[in-house]
Amino acid sequence: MNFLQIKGGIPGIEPEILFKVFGYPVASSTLFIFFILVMFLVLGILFSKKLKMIPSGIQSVLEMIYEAISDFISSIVGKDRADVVIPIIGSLFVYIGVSNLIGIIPGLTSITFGGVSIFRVPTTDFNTTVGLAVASVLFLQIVSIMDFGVLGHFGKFFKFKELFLGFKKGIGPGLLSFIDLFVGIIEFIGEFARIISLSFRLFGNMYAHEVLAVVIMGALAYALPAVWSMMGLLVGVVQALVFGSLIAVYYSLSIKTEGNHGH
Amino acid sequence: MEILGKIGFDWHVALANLVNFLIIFFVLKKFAFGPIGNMIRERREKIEKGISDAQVAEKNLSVANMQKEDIIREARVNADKIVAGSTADGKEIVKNAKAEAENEKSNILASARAEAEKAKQGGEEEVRREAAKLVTEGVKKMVESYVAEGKGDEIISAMLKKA
Repeated sequence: MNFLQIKGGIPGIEPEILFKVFGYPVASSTLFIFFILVMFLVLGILFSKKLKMIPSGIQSVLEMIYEAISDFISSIVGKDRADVVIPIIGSLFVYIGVSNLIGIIPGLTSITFGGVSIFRVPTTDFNTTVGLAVASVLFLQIVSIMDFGVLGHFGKFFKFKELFLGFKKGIGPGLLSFIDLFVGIIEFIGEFARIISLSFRLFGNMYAHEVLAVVIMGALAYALPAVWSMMGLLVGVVQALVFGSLIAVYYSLSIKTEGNHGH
Repeated sequence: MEILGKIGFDWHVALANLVNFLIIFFVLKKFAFGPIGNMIRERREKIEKGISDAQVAEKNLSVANMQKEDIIREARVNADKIVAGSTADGKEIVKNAKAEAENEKSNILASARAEAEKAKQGGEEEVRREAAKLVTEGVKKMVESYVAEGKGDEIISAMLKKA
C-alpha cells in the first residue's frame, strides 16, 4: 500500500452471515434491508401525517417523484391500469433505487462486526435480487390469474384445446397447433426464466460496480473513486428504472388488453 | 443449484430478503404511495371541479350580463314611456287646472256680481225704505206742525183734491 492507493479485498459473492436468530441466518444485506425498512417506516409515519392539500417543501418533491413514476408506468401499462400497479412497481423502483444509492454514503459499508461488514448494499447480494425477482414474477402470475382465471392463465401456455381443434380441422392446422403447444411450453418456462434474468441483471451490475470500486481504489484512491461514485449514482437509478420498467412491460403482457386475450 | 450456490444463493437469506421487501412494499403503499396518490387524486378532482364551477360561473355571468342588458334596455324603454306619459299627464293636469281655475274664476265673478247686485238692490230698497220713512216722518212732522198751527183742514182738503 502507498499514499495513492488503498488496496482492499474484493467483496465476496456469497452472503455474509452476521449472526443467527433461532438458527436462522441473518446476512449483512438482510440487516441493511431491515435498516431501510425502519427508515421508510419512520419517514412514512412522520410524512403521511403532514400531507397538505397545498404542497410545499419535501411534499412537493415527493409528489413530483410520484408523478414521474406514475407517468412512466402509465406510458407502459396505460392510464386505467396504472393506479393498480403504481404501489408495487413504485415500491420496487424506490426500494432498488435507495438500496443502490445508500451504499454511496461514506463509511456506512465500512462498519464491521466480527470482521464482517454490517451493512452490505442489498442489491450486491444475489439473495436480495432473487427475492425481488421471485416477488415480481409471483405478482405477475397472480395478476394474470385474476384477469384470465386459473384455466385461462394456464391455457395461455398449454394449448391442448387448440391442438385438438387443429387436428380436427386437418393435418396442416394440427401440426401448426402442435408447434403452438411447444411455443406455449417454452413461454411457460420463460415466465420463470424471468426470475433468473431479472435477478442476474441487477445483481451483476451492482456487484460488478462494487468490485470495480475496490479495484479503482487499489489503482488510485483520489479523484477517480469520486468519478466512479457519480457513475454509481447513475447506475443505481438506471438499474432501478430498468427493473421497474421490465416489470411494467411484463405486467402489460400479463393482463387482458385488446390484443392479448390469452387465446 | 450448484451454480446458484457458487454465486452465493442461500434460500434462508433470499426468503428473509423477500419477506423484508414485501414488508417494505406494504409500508410504502400505506405511508407513501397510498396517501400521496389519494392526495393528488383529491387535488385533481378539486381543481377539475373548480375549473368546471368557474366555467359554469362564467357562463352564468355571461347570461346574467345579457339579462342585465335586457333589463336595463327594458327599464330605459319603460322610463322613457313613463317620462312621456308623465309629461302628457302633467300637461293635461295643468290644462285641467287652468280650465278649472277659469271656471272657478267665472263662478266667483258671477257669484260676486250676483251678490253685488243683490247688495245693490238691498241698498236701494233700504234707501227707498229709509227715504219713505224720512218722507213719512217729514210729512208727519209737517202735518203735526200744520195741525199745531191749525192748518190741518187746508192740507187735508189739498190732499183730497190731489187724490
